[in-house]
Amino acid sequence: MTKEHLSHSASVHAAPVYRGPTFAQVYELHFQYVWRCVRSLGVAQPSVDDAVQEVFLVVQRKLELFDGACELRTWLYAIVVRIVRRYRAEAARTAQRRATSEEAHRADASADLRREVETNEQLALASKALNTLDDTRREVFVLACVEGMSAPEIATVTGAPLNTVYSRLRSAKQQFEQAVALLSEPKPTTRTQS
Amino acid sequence: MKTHSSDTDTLIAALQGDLPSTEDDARMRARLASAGVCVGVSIAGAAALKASGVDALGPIATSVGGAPGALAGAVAGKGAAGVAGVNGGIFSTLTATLPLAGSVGVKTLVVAGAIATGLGYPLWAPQMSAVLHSAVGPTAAVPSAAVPLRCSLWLFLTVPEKVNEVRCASKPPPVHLRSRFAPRSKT
Repeated sequence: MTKEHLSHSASVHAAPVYRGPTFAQVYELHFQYVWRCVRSLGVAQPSVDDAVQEVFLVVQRKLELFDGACELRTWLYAIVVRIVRRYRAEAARTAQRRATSEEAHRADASADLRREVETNEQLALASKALNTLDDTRREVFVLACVEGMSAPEIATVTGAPLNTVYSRLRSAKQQFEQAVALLSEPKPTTRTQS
Repeated sequence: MKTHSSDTDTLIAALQGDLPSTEDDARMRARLASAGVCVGVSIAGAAALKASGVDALGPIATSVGGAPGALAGAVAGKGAAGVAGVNGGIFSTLTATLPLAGSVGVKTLVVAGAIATGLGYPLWAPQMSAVLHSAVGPTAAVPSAAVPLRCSLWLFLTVPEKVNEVRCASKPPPVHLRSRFAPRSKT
């Protein structure tokens, strides 16, 4: 058997070797953005840690399967979006269940109070305006405006057609601006009749 | 991507500036380490967590130091976090010794590992307890003698499967050589 034959058989049957960044490098580079994205996409504050941890556990498990067909960031945000969708669905189910009980109203009132106490007013206003968008528009808006992704990248991440992404982005921007304008208006004070 | 309104742009800038703090980072590292995933140690974050009452050193120490670190983490970490840290530390040791298992043989390696873990325990246990005492505090307990036995059992159960996978992946396919005495075709 010649050397060429040996090397050929070795190259054909060798297992594919992952040559991308290690998990630690991915974490160092992208932790902040993943955390911000999870928060902006509407996961409730107590669940943010759980969601981010789940994202990185999935990344650790699947990093070797990443083939470089798209950018690492796009691949990562696709995982983020999928996990965030699940958390939002769970939160919606929980909210439906709790809506009938009296305790739910108390919990919501305390959450609103916490939100009002939030130090960064602009951030609170932005969060409220984001909450007015529906989930699909919110995803597109956050990925485009906050994370700076291009429309084709967003189409890859969300699995929506490119033209749908453009139309959602346009309407999301309009809704966001309207919500900001509404929320920024000073509330009319109610007069009590003596 | 800009919007039409400057007010909206400032709000988007606020959203972009909403990044996690050092404490958030350290907490996430500790959570990942307790799940058996190593992402390195952030000293500032660990100190911040320690100050806030959360013990991040146990599970993180496990991921850094291999088997001794894993045992240290099992003692220093509390509850499930420490147990998961043991798995992470042993796995890193296991991946380091797999090539050796391929050449020496699985049974030899397992027996040697079991003996070394059991015999070496009295040598490093006092040092590890001293390290734990300085790093975690006086609450750290001395590792129990049952831990090496459990590790050996775990190795014994897990190593053959892993080595088998490695062998299957690295084994070259059979090459069919033409026999020197086979009748040659006339073409």
